[in-house]
Amino acid sequence: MKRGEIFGFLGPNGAGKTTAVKMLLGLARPNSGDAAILGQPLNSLKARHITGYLPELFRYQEWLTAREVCRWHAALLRIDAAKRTSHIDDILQRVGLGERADERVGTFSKGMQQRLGLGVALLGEPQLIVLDEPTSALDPVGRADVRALLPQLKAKGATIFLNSHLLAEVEAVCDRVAVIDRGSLIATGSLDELLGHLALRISFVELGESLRRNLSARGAAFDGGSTAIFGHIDESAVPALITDLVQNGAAIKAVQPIRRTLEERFLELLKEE
Amino acid sequence: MIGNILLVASLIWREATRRRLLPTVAIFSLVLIGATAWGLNRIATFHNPSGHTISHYELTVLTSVLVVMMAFMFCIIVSLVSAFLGALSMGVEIENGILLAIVPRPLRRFEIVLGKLLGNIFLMAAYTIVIGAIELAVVRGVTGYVPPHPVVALLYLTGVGAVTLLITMCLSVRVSAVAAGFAAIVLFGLARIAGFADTIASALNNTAVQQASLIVSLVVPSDGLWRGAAFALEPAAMVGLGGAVQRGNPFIALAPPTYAYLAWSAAWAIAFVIATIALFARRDL
Repeated sequence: MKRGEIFGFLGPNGAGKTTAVKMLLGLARPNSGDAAILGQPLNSLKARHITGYLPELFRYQEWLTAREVCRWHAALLRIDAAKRTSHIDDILQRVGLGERADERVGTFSKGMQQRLGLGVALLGEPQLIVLDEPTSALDPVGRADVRALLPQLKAKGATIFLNSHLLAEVEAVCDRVAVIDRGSLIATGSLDELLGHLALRISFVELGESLRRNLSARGAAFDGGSTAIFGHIDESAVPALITDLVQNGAAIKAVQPIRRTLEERFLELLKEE
Repeated sequence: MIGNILLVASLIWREATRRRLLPTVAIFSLVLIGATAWGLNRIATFHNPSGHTISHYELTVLTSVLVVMMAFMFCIIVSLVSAFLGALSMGVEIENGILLAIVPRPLRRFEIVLGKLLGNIFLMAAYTIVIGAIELAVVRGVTGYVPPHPVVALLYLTGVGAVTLLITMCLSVRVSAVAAGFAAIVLFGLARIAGFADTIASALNNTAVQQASLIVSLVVPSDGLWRGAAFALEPAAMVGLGGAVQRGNPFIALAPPTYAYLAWSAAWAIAFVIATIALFARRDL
């Protein structure tokens, strides 16, 4: 992982995603090997200080209020007592629990408990935030909230490790991803690297002979009707291409980028394995 | 380190009040105390058909025996409370995943174990000493009888609770909370049965049974400590009676635990704390 990126960690059930996360956080012991968290030795107190974690199985003391749960974790993190109250208020607002801060966790729905877990993970503004299936219990609004929150955290300098089954979610927010299967890494890279090059489909109102020649010269293929397909095109070249075609009198009906989804690529990778 | 241990312990104290664990147990204990007060009062004001009341001497002898019996029943309750506290704090939190959010925090696993031990031992000791003291005060108020060493007796009873608590917490790191609590109670019962067997075997001079009982009392020192409590509650006259009948009575202790046995019990407790820390350090969550 690189500092300051949102890193997606993917794999089928039983691939070892949660086990890997648990080893990074000192919840499980590795048989062999070593790792470092932002340069700090695994399991060192320093590494733990700079890491926030939302477990897949999130459970907090149901007899405490959301604010008390945060206060207790804040005390463990040695957050300055003078700033603690305002920091906790801010965190609870950000995860949508501002109005319910003084209610007992036992009265919370699963989704609210997951929001609390996210809040606990954000306490102390950790440099690394490890989120294990952070939206598994959330409704569509909650998922959208989390998707919006992650880039904000990244903008503040946090590095985010996202372990999720929801590939569309990973595709929407992650800079780079890794795919593991049966405990081994089978692919890693940026989304562009992993999903391959962009293809482009351009539909015209009418595809005349001169326009067809023009498009052929640029490497397009045709589907037999009035649609041209660029099998491999640099994403940055698309605006200039469209402008040029329009200036040459082409009547464009639709421009459709074509790229494999992360889900398609993910299934391909598993099949290859 | 101390700060983290106290933070973990504070959570246990808060849980006990929030979940009304101690108040609930205390209310039931007070009901029992009320029942014993009523029973003792009935004995103290007993009239036989000819109109004679029980003499002060008779009442003292009878109460001294009853106090030891009541202490034994209380010892069982303390052990049950200890097993419950131990299972609830360690095993249940491993099973339900609460520890997943705590262990990755900047604290060491041994601090979690020590914090939970400290919190639970404080709760168990507070319960044992407060309820035990109220019971003895009620006995004194109703009958005028005060056992020879009530404070020592309560400390021994706290020791019995600590043994069960340590066994439960240690086992619950590896097996389910229910199994750990159950095993600790079974071991408490086994130790008591061995204690009974030892008392009877010593009256009959059966060395094989005595040696087996000694081994059990070393492995699970709860019965040895219970005998310390019993001895502290017995009036000197009761112990001084001696004789085969007294020696064969499993509710009577003729001598307090030796200093060597107390040292062994302390070493046993330290070994269990270390074992719990070592087991938890190796436990994948």
